[in-house]
Amino acid sequence: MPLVKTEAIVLAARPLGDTSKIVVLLTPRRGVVRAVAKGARRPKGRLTGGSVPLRRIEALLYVREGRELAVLSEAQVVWAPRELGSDWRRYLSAGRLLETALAVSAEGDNPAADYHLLLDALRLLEGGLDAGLVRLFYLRQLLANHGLWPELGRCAVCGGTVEGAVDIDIAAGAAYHPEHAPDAVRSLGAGSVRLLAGLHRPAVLRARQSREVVEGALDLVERLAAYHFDLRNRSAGLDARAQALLDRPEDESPL
Amino acid sequence: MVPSLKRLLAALRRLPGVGAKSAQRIGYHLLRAEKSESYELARSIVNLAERVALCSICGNIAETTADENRRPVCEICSDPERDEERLLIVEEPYNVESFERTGVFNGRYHVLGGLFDPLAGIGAEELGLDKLRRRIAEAAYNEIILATSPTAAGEATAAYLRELLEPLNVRLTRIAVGLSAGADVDYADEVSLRLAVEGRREMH
Repeated sequence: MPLVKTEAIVLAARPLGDTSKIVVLLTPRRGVVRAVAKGARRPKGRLTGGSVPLRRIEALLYVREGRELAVLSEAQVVWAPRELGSDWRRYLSAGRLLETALAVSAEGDNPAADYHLLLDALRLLEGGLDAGLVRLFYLRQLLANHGLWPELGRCAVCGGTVEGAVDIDIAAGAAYHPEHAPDAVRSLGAGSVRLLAGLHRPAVLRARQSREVVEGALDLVERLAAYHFDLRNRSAGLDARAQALLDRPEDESPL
Repeated sequence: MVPSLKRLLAALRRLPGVGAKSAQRIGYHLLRAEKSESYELARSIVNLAERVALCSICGNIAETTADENRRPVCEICSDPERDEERLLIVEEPYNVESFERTGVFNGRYHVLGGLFDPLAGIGAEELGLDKLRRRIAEAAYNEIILATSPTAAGEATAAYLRELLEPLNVRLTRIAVGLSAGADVDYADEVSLRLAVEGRREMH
């Protein structure tokens, strides 16, 4: 029964009996690993702190060949993003990232890239970066990690360089000069194209971006991700609906 | 194995914490036991399904009445002796039992029925927080105690509740977090230790 020492991000946890949990971990070498965390629901259990979603842990796992579930033997908390808990907006955004990571990471052949990308995104979110920008950064890079990011700077018809606004065919993963674009393409403004091109640079991430530019770029990456990955998107819209309740006058609430 | 026993074991195995061995042990125990024991168990389970519902006021477990037009109300909500000025918000009905056992709280409860859980698609609407806000707005509570777990989900839900309830101008408090009673500092994780230090209090 091989013993594996690895770092991991806890993606999800659900109760197993009265005292244990099944945890879903994202690891850099093995991708998604599901494991039993015995005693993790006990207040004083060794694994209690290390089996909470969003935490980064140093894990010791017994991985049994042919078994779907590993056994989490040790879990030392390395990083617990505090702000993500104290701010419900960031928490829901982080949940969307975890949901996407869970859906996508089973498909990848480079789990280390997906692992470090999720960690970077969670750190950006914890650091206070706008949730829309973090999701944009995450999905853009995730698509690139899986070889699914379209070349925005070159027209698929004439091969010429595309500057400024661009038309994109989601299914074909191709970009076009507006005059060469086939029907049913998405148009992306020049500002959104520049933002997508510079997302890997911290200065671009930290720069003030207009809402229109971010939303245009986010719309494209969400569509690309939905087309290429089998996302369940249960978490989509939770933040908007929660905000709508805050904005609604209390006398309109049902009894 | 006879079909009736097989069906029972399959049903038992669907219960939390009951595996194949436990189901077999329970099944054979019932076969050997007095028939009255099986009847009593069966009646209790049917009663549970037919007569227990969520309290229409607080979301706790409540017994229904024969009158179908009467909405179920739990024992705590219908107890006139309870403190009307304090409301304690918990995640699940069994949390009510836990606080009741402590004997330190004699006010009213509100059971959320869960926490924010993006992966399960549970947010403010799904937890019925608009109904909670209306309940608090129409009552005269002096203090609302947020008793969700000190996990990211519990903290995020509590943070949302703070934002939702602050405009109602009622005192909002959060249960203390940190080391549990009897815990050994050596074995505590750093998050719990940090929270314990941050939440320290004066010794009088």
